[in-house]
Amino acid sequence: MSTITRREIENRLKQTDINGLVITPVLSRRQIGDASVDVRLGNQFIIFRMHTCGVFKPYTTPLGELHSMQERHVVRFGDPFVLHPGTLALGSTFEYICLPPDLEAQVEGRSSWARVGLQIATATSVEPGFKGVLTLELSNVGTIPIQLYPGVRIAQLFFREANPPATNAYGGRRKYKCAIGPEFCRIGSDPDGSVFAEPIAPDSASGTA
Amino acid sequence: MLCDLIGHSVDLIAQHIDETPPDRLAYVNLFLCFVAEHLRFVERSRVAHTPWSMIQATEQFLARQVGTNSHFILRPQWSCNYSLSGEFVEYHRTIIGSMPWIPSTAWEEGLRELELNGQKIYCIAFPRIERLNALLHANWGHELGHIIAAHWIQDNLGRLWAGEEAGIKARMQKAVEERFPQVPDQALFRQVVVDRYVSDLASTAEKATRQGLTELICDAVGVHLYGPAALAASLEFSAGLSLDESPTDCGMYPPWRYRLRLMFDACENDLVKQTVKFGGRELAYPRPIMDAFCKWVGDAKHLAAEKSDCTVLNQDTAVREAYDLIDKKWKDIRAEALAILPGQSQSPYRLTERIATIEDLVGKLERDVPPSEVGIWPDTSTAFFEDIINAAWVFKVKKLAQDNDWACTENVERLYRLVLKAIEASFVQSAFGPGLARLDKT
Repeated sequence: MSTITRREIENRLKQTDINGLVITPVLSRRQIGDASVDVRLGNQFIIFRMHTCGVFKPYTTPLGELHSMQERHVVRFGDPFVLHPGTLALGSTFEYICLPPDLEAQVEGRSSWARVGLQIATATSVEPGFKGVLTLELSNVGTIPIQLYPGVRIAQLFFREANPPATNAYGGRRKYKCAIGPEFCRIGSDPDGSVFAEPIAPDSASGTA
Repeated sequence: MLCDLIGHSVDLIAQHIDETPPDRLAYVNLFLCFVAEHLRFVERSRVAHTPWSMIQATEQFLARQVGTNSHFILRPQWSCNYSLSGEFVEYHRTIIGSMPWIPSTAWEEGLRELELNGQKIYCIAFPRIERLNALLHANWGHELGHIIAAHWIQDNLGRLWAGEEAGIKARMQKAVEERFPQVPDQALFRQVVVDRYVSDLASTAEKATRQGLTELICDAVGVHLYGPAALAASLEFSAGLSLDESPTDCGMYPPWRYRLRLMFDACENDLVKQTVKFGGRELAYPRPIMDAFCKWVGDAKHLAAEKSDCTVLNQDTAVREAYDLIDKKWKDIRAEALAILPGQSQSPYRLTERIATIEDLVGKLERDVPPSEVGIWPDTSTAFFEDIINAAWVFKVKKLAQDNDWACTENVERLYRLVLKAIEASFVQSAFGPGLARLDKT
């Protein structure tokens, strides 16, 4: 599995068949680097309303209640979003991305932002076949508020070939499909999550040493 | 902006409250109640309640049609309807002007300080339940048309009516005399009654003409700007409504069937099979990708072909006169009204001229890609707002023609999301793209 470089990225962007890579819109050719593509910050954010929640219980908190803990905030293009120290906000890429079945992507923050304390993404891997904008977990781990303008180059995407290509790439019922803004957490829809959130039944603990 | 305006007017009212005559306090209170309602417009226009991805793009699009000094607030309303309110600066000027204890110079001076002088503020309301339905929001073209219609009505209706009034009244008098031959028999008294009937009928006819033309001009502006997408949105919007309601029963609005007929006429060129010249080639139209859409709209034309609305219009003397006048003058009125649009919007939107663009954008929707750009990277151009909406309609009808079950929530909501994203991306590209392109060249 190797990282593809500029020529291959450009070739993939020109393809319109199943192997084509879609990043739309690419506002500037400067976004395409030697082995990566810079992506811009979208204008939608999800912020936490700490005063309305006690604790987030991923498998028991109803979706409606979760929405009351978080709030969608939209900034007009041209206006800033201020991320205060110690806070987390979900943002998204401005670009909408479609990955072919044989490419996976890695999201990396730009070092320029890291130097002022901004962490961009923690869930960095994007599976083949993904379609949508990428949700970014923006966190200010510095000590001063950071002003973010929608449209600024915020992160980089690195693409790696997936071998063999994924079958039914990102098909079926996925949690985050064709998103156009940051998505609320849907961890509660993990089918196996609740298994670990229940007490262990005494008669099911056989086979241990 | 609206908050600044409200704050300014209310401040002046508060400063001069001691000078307000006691018998005018109720009037002041009434104004403040209206203003409080306008504040709710602002509150509800916050992004969580709106199709936020298309707000800035729509504001830009609307301002381009009526001038950059026009500002729009887009807000949801629970009523399943679209409407336009304003213009608010002029409204405040009129109301403050009717309060002689407040010096109007102080109000005007404050307006200048707020840089609101010469600005116009409107509010467009849309149905809350259809918030994300960008396809239906092609109806915003109709609401914009209210500004154009108001211009035309103000400048032309008096002249039009004056030229026709004598003939209308003569026919009304004849109708009244035929209908009421028995009352009363004294010649002098009889004439007074007949005159009163004729006067009432003429007044109703004038109202029906005014309101009818207003709505029809709005429809014409919508179709002019958005092409068949505006017609499709009107078809969808009117689907659950009576098509033949008499104007006298619904606030003098024209029957939907009548409105649709004129919209079909305006779009006719886009709906018939023909050969079009495109890029130096002759192509059969509609293109295969548009076939289902043109067929769907064409099939709906039978709604307009029926004349049951005309029967309703002919049942009322005043309404009949209004619509006879509209029928007679509509072609000229439409042309005059559309001429009010700015130079760059004088050409109507024609699907026949956008073949390649629509094919490209529909192809993108087929691949779950927002149709914000035409072409393949790096040879791309920004898609226009109107093209995106039309491509979305073409795509939706195409999918429905292929599979009636396509219209499940998941598919429809995905289409809305892709269209909203495309409109936003198109706006950002047009606003910031040129600056970035200049940087690319350095």
